[in-house]
Amino acid sequence: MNKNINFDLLANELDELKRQTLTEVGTADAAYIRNVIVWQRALEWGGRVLLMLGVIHPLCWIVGVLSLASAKILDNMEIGHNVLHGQYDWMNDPHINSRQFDWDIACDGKSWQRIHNYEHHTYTNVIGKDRDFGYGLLRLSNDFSWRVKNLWQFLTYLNLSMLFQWGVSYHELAAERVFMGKKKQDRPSKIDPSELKRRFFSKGGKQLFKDYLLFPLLAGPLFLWVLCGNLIANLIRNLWTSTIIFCGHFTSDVHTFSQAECENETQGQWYYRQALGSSNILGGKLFHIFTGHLSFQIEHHLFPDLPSSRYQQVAPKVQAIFARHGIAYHTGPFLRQYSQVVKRILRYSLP
Amino acid sequence: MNLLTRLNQVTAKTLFHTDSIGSYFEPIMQRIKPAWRTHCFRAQVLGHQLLRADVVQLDLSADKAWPQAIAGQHVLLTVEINGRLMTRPFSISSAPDQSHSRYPKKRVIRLTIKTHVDGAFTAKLLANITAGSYVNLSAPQGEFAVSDRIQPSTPLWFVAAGSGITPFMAMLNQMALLPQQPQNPINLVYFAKLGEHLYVDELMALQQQLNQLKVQLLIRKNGDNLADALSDCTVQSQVLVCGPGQFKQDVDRQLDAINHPLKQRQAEYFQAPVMSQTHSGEQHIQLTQRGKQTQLTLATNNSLLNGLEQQGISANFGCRIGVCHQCQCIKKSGVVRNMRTGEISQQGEQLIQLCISQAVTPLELEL
Repeated sequence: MNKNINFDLLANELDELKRQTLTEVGTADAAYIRNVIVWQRALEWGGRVLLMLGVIHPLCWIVGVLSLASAKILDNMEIGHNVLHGQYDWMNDPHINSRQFDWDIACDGKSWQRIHNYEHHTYTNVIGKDRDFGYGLLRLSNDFSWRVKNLWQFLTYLNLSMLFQWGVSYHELAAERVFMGKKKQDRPSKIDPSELKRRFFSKGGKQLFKDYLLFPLLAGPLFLWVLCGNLIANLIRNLWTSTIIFCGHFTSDVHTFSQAECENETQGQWYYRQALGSSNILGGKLFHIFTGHLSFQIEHHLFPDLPSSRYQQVAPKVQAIFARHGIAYHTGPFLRQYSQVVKRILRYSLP
Repeated sequence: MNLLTRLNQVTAKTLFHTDSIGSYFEPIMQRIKPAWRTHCFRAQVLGHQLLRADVVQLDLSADKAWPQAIAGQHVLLTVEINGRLMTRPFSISSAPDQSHSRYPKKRVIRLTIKTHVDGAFTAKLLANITAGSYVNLSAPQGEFAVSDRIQPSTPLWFVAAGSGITPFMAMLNQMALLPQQPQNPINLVYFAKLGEHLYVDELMALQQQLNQLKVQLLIRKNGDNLADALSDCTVQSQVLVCGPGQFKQDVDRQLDAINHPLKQRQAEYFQAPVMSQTHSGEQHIQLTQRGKQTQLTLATNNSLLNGLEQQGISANFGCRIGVCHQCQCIKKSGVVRNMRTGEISQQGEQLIQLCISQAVTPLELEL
């Protein structure tokens, strides 16, 4: 860690920024998330109807797939991810809160909260603690020793991206070694493996039933059209979410940390680690919404429960604070960030 | 659980990942019908007026589906204030069948609300509602009502202080609407500060209509006291008390003195939150965990999470620094302080994070 940084001052400035921003949160933010939900519903049902109208003109089917994919992306990113983080709990809405909410992906929301909200956000990029760094599949830094399987890890990465929702869903079971491998002694389990298994199959099963059986059956003779449409929509969503998330954490400048470095960490040091463990993507307003504002990964990691509707507003202020403290603020256009991710995966596939 | 509810739940869980089909479509329904909510009834704000600088009368017209209240019952009123849904209980101060000249042909619910300058709800209420806008109501609740099994010979004593007059306005108006006047002697004892009695004209009119009604408008500062006011109260009387907690205790003491039996007393009282710590620096917590209730006493200088763990109660937790929201639970009532921001919470029901919350008042928690 950089010893020249005044971590206490950094913590004060960032705390104050969050406090100040939270005082402004209100009607507009509640209206914003409800609005996104209405769009999600409209795109989902518009998409499902258009898929069935594919019989009239194939263009309907194509628009239907894109519409359904957009709905799934909104549900996953701007709504699900952010609501499950507790960003909208202050609204006191019985349905839009982190305790009630579940999303339209194979992963049980509660499992994701344990692994992502807790493990990843508390121990961001701490090797051995944050399983999101490489997802146990990829070698992305010299912190891990090279193994033969890393040679073809770019293919592993492509597979992971395509099946991303299943990867997310299986993440906690893999960490807990529910199906294979030896249980880690130092890993405190919060949930019974049989309960984990039950939830994994129950949520995953419902997803498969809905997209690959029920809706295709409702389409009658268009069974295959709808089935393929749902498959492609899920695939688009998986590739998109995976890509955005990889761009947020695995660009070239992202740092990793050892467990020893992070012992007795102060609030300022925690902020510093979040800053160096994340990177942003530049883009327009709509792009930010479809990334669930994870294009503001740095701001999200500093303030994970600040409503996503505020990340665009705080970003320049965060950047100014970082500049004063001499902390790098990693951001860039999508293609540049993504090419860095690809290079990183390729670079560490070799010893 | 009936079959329809079950079907609704299974469909919603499978297709929408929500607890009911309604909650999935709620944001869309709200575009068509503002403030439409699956778990509440809707009511339109007909108008409001200031009865006093610090008392607002709110006239509402509820959906047809809203179950009619019994005079004396209260409702939970939910209003969106700066994007946040806030809920408070209020007694209904109008009779179920009462007609209102200002709103002919409407079923009107009148709420009489004392506002507090620093109140998170009442102080901001008027700024957040306009005539024609919608708010939410719960079904009417509460047992505070005159039983229809009461003998015609039983004297009724209504004892109110301040805004505690509201349920009695409903009861008296209801009695005035009955085809046959009640035979019971009715005594209304109403304490308030000088010039602060509410609905005086209405009470005088009621006194004209109800032969048996005797109204005493009393002011403590002027030397009026409970002992004199209740001097005619007998052990046969049915006594209903509504007012601040302290007032209820005073009335109880007075009734004990004449050996008035407890089973002939009904009370509804409101307690201002005790913001200061108890002497020992502890607070009482009523905890509900998987339907099981536990009473606890926790130190207030500790986080709720630490406190619960020290008592051997395992709550779900994660980061313990307020980041991950794993330790979230429902606070049913009471006030907590956010240890990170120093912010003091609302009194009503809301989600809180155990790891960064301290008890400020007695709490009801649901894990």
